[in-house]
Amino acid sequence: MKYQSQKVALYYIYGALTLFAAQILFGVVAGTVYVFPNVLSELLPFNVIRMIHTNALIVWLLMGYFGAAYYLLPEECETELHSPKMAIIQFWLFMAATAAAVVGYILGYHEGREFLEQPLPIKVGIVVVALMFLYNTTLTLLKGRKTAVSNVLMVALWFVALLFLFAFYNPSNLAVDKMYWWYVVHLWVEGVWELIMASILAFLMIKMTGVDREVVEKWLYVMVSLSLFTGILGTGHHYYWIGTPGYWQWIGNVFSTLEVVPFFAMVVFCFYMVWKGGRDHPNKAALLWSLGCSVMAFFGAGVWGFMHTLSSINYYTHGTQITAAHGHLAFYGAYVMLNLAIFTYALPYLRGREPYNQQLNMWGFWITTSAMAFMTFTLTFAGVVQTHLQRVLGMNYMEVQDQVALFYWMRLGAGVVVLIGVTMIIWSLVVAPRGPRVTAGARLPAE
Amino acid sequence: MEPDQDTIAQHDDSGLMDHDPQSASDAWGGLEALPGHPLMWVLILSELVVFGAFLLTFSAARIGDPAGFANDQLHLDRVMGGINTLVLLTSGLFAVFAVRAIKKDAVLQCRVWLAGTAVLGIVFLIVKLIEYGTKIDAGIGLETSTFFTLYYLITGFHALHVVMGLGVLGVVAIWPNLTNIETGTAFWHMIDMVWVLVFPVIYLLR
Amino acid sequence: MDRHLTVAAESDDISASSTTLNDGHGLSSRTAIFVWLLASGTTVMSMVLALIGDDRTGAMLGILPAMTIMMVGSLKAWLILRYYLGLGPSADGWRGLFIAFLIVIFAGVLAAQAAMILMNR
Repeated sequence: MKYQSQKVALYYIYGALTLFAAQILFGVVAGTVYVFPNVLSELLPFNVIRMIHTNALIVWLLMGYFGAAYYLLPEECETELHSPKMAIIQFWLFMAATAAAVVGYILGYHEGREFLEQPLPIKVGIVVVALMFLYNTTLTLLKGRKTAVSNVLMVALWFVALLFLFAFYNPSNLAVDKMYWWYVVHLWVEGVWELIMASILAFLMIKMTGVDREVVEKWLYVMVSLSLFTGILGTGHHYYWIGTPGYWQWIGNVFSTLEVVPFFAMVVFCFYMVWKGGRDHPNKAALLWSLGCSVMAFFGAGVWGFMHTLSSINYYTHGTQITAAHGHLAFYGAYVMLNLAIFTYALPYLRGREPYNQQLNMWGFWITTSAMAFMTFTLTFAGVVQTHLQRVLGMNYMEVQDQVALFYWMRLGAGVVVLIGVTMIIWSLVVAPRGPRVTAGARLPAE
Repeated sequence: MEPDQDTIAQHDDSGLMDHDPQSASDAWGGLEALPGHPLMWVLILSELVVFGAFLLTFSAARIGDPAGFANDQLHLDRVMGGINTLVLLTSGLFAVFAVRAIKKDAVLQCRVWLAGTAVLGIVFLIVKLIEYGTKIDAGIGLETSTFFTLYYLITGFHALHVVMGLGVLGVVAIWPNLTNIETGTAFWHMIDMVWVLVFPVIYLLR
Repeated sequence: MDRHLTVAAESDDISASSTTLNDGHGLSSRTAIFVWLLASGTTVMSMVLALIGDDRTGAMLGILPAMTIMMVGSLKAWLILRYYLGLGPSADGWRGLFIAFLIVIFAGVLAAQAAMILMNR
């Protein structure tokens, strides 16, 4: 850690990990409801559990991006943050808004619009938080060195905020509503979030592999171009059956199929950089998360997305457990692992505990990733069976749910293992090691 | 606490690390062997994949309804399409001359050729609009049939690229150096090349 | 900003050297015009042929006429690639990729035509 103001990232990382834990807990509860449908049905209905599971995910990922930006911007810009104090106020405001939203959900206050359920005041709060963040980071960027990594990251974060404004527009016509709704939901995760992903991975590769920055930057530009080229019109794959004109099927088919390409480029990028750099960075766990992130994003977002992106296939699979399988692995692979990569990289520096044994973290990686993969397989099988019984044979929805119950049991099992793995990861990041701090002089030179 | 791990490991992220001089230019993975800016070639490759996918989709959709496609195709004006092919081929030739001019540092000459390229691009668009106009007057729209959906989408995407290409030509004409002119004209040639494939597949094959 | 400029300046050098590799002064006017004549000539020819033979019945083309049409289109595309886009000897690997692209289109479109001809029988 070179700049004192990078420390504000700690707030965000701890906040994100707290919400991460909550997200996984609610996920396990939701998985339990799938097999015991009446669990908590009076106290905490399933829709509320699911809402907290998905909202907590989005919010902690965003919080992680904020933290990542506060950590890497000073280093990239070679200057202190514009205002660390503002960053801390922004954090508590964000946490307060999140807490208020969760309490509100439990009490039944929400707008009922999937993923954008936040009541209006909370949405306004999010915008205020975003404005504080953008003000702080943009001024930092303007006064310091401009690198491709920081420029791409900031452009992406600006668009994250701008696209969120579509959340305020809620037309009464359901088709029109959905059309704008996807501007947020799709253009975030399949557009600008990919830019965030590419820029953070680029930062990590520069830091950990020792490959020349110029080389990394060129890759970054290519990945950014490919993401935007495929991702923006790839929105078409959400416009198949919502009342939008039929030509969206053709656009969606072609462009969303190509959405695999940027994810593949990221895999090639990460592995090639590590191979080319050939350096043995002491933070093996962070490197593992970075490489793992690119691979799992490719499978979760790329391959599992492609599986049901063609309209002729989606006609049958739309809204089945196949979507759930894709959603789980894509979010985990692309964005959860990305955040854990930058957390794992940054925390030893932020806490002055570099380098230390990260075996526990790496065990957490393998356990969580395997369990997520298993969960994805069970949901995929459930989805295939569901598609056949419900969409092809025409059985009714609840009958089919009984038929796939076995898969839900296996999913719950996978969820419990994920919970264990996540506990290990959070423990390794927040608590371990409990030994004395490593002093600057006592560190190992590079091998 | 300072310097951090990364600096210890002899890493200098300001780009001055002890690398062989080749590595920076190799970083484009060979794209630097092509004329113009390498990122333009990323775009060109992406565009070709998209247009290629659309043309193959068109052919595949045609298998499902050969008679319908043949019937709809009769409404297309092959002469107009052929004229537009000639227009674009000629504009491509002008673009080549623009590059030749800039290599001899003849900026004015280069701009004149670029202007010529752009004028033909505009002619292409006018012909295209006349075609669309005739279709729309005949009551043929985007949702009339699969053939026409794809016809409008593919030629529309292509026409949109001509519009963007005009913008690119304008930009490189303002800052004419060899890289810029090669980059801009490479985009234009890509548009040209896509059209010579779109024309036979959509207008001629039946 | 200055970073961006370095990138631009650098690729400037590269492309300059790659063009020198091509043939010294880039594409000669004579070649360029010849390419244009060839491409335009085939276009005019195919237009004339299409107009003469245009019975407007929409009868399906046999595989040979279809192949001819696609050959002419692909030839024009290849001419543009090789000469106008400058995929000369210095870009051997890339030329292969672009030719593969043309082959995929050519083969795909003709396969569809062949499938329709067979199904029509």
